[in-house]
Amino acid sequence: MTITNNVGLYLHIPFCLKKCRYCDFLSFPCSDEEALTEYTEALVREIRIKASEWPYRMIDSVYIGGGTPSILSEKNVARIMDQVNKNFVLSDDPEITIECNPATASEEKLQAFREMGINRISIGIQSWDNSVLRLMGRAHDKNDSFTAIRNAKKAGFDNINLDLMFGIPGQTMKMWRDSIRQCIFLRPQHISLYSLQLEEGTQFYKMVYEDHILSEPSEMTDRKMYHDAIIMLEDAGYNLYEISNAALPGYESFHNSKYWSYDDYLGLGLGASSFIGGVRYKNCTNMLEYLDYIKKGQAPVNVDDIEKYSKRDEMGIYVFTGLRKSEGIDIKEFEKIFGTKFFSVYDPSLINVYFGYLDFDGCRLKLTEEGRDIANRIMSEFV
Amino acid sequence: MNDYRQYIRNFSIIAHIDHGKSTLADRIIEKTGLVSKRDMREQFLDNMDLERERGITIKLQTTRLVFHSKDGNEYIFNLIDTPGHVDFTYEVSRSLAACEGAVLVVDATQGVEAQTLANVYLAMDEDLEILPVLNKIDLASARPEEVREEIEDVIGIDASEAPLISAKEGIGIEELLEKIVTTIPAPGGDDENKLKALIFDSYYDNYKGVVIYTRIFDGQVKKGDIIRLMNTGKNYEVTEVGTYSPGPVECGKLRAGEVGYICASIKQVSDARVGDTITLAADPTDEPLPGYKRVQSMVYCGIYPAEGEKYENVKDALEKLQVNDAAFHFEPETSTALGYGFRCGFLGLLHMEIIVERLEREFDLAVITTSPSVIYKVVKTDGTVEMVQNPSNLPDPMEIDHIEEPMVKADIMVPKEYVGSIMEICQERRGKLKHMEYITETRVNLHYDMPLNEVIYDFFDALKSKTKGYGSLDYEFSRYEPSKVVKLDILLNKDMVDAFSMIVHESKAYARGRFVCAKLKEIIPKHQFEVPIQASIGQKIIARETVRAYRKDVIAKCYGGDISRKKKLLEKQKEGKKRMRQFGTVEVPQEAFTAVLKYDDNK
Repeated sequence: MTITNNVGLYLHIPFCLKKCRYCDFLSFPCSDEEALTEYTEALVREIRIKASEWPYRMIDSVYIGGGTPSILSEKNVARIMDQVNKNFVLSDDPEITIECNPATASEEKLQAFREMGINRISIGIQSWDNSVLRLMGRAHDKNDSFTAIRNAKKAGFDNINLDLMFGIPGQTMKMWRDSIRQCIFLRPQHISLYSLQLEEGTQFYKMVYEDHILSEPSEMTDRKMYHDAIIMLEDAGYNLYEISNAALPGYESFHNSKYWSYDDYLGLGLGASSFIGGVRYKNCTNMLEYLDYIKKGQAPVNVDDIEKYSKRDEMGIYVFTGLRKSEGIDIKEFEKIFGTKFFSVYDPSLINVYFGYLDFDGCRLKLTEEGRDIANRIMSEFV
Repeated sequence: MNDYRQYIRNFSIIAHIDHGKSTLADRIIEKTGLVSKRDMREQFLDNMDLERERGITIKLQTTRLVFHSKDGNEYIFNLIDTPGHVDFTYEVSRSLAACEGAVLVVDATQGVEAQTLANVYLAMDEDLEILPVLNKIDLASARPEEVREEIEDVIGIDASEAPLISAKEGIGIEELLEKIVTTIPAPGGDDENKLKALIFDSYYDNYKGVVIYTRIFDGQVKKGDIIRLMNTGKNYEVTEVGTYSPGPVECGKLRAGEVGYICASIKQVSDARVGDTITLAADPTDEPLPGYKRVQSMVYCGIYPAEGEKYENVKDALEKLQVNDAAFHFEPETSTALGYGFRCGFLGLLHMEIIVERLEREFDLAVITTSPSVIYKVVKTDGTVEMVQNPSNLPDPMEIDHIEEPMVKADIMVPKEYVGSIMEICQERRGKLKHMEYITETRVNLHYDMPLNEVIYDFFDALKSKTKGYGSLDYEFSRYEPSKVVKLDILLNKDMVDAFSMIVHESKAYARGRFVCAKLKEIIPKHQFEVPIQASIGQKIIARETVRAYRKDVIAKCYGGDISRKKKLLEKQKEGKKRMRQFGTVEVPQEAFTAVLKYDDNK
């Protein structure tokens, strides 16, 4: 809505080799080729259903996420890409990303992905320390990561993202700095850094809060990890353009930016979220239900999962998503979209209350580096 | 001529909590056929939800019953209910004053309890005929003979003919009713004399105004009469007289010996005070009935709306409660910490809890209550005396010569195995053992002299917890006594929060200070900065804790495009913040105010 009228397309692959200890995403361990193909076919049908709903919208980014999308065979990924191309109108040079786990990123597979037109790859390295990887329950080790990156480069990917995590139980400051150094050395175009969140229901949560066999690094350590990493990355020429994403100039993730810039995106697949035509909704999260909807040729959305947000709700969303970006939000753009003065909705004294945490230059409102540490708290003032 | 009075019996049922008073009242009402069994709600007289839940009677219910005796006559029974808690002693005494007799219910499994005694003494003070009854005899653990002896030994009344009943099972009720006819005297008085009637309760009705429950001692009253309430001196025209059976039934007049209600367009319950005497304005009686007292609040606390904008709603609710409760009063006050609120006076801690609970339940209001306080007598150096019930109003220490605090006589009855732990908790609370007596071989009555301040704080909780619920307590105000009390302040991030201030005895200040600081540390969330929590007496810091600063409040994940999930998380956070109170730069969750008052078992 703000940058272009184009749409980002998200395709969810809810499968992985095995569930990591920290994971609370919608994903199931699965290696049954038949099941994977059945899901692929359903997704393909959903592409047709949704494409017919939005025939005139141009797609300028495609993101295949998960789970571990690279668990799908080349054939299945090709089938999906083929259907995307056939059913949607794609822009001239769309960003097309696929997420990979180093354990499922063979040279042939990545080669095939590149040939299908996928031009960006996101590899879930998480850490360069084998002991941390084991503790996290990851299916790969350090060597797999090296191999995956080498394979991606060989396959011709010149837009690579590495996912890293910090604040992991057992992870020391040194391990983390070494991981960052290793990444910088390999010079991917994009690096994501996520502070680990212990979510209820995950194995990590139980190990830390119920069994007490692990403990989280202190909040102070977590924040030091974050700020140290930013300094190291910026010194190396990366630009932190979003609260947990850094990129070499010109390689900011186009697709992810849509989430923070109030742009339209269409989510396909189990439990995928969409924001299109002013409506937010989410596909159903029950696999059988999903397959059933598709079989009947219907959009796999339960009525309850269509949000009925008011204009005021949307304003809050605009602000809190926008504040994730380093450039923050543009008050004028806000006023153009919502037709209301920003400070008639929000108390100007918030700027003073969060002095040093929020920066306002009369036009743009953004979080300072200190402000990012308490982003939730500040964002909650605007919802 | 005065024939009708021979067939009237005015009586109350007195008992300790849980000894079956309400159940017995139900059975009596059922037996006299007033309410059909089908319409019978459990415990008819306790008709507030709160009363039934807590098993105590707060507001009185009075009922006129008709009993067909075996002697061939028809009797009018006026069953006058009494509130069942130590906070309401005065109300109990006025209800009893309206009767000629009292049915004393004693649980045959438990025996005589502190409150049983307290109520019996009240009844004796009113010269009532006491009819002991042993209840719960259907239970295997009933030991009627022992309890019978206990009643004779401890109370000193003849219990040899006490009926054995089970109110729950309906055993022995008929016999009891006959016994009431033969034992309890018919009322005296003369309906030709000048009107003399006792107000023993009142409530507010939206259509009729204040409805007075009254017992006529002399003379008669009818619609259109101009009555005078002797202690307040105000005149009113009677708009309706009647009896409760159990709903209001209008009748032509009320005569000497009868019990009923009067409506006279009175606007405030506090205008028709319990204990006041009603007479006719045109032909007043010479002397009011004895025993009138203005009820005094013993315990005070601040009540503040949890959300500032609900001030008016809280005010309305308090006004409505006050209309019906002459013992409760309030006035506006402000706190630098909590903003605009009310200073409220109560008969006791239970009374306070009931009011707060009713605000929450019946009016759906969230309120914050500050530490309850008693009234201190502050004698200043210039010789003047100030009564202080709000810690914030304590004069400057330089101006204080000394402070006196209210003392109570507390009677605690416990099985003997708990005597040790009771002595311990009483000693901790500055209690002085005056006297101790064995009621039976296994049960002991401990008489303590204790500061009221210690009783209202957490004594009751401690007593129940240390005696597994078997201990019982009764207390009454005795006198003011000089005491070394100090004002304990709590500082958050160096700023005093007046709502946490309390007056405590010097010897307890350190322990209290440490306890409150530790509790607050548990409850106050992390801030962007370190929050020191300090307890001080004057300038002197006596305890300190620190809430460490938090460094991280960020969820870096993006959840795909699932913005709704993130939005919900942020909303929850915002909601949590709303329930916080802002003190300077520090946010305090509302539960902090009650948490610092709770009895801590592990202490």
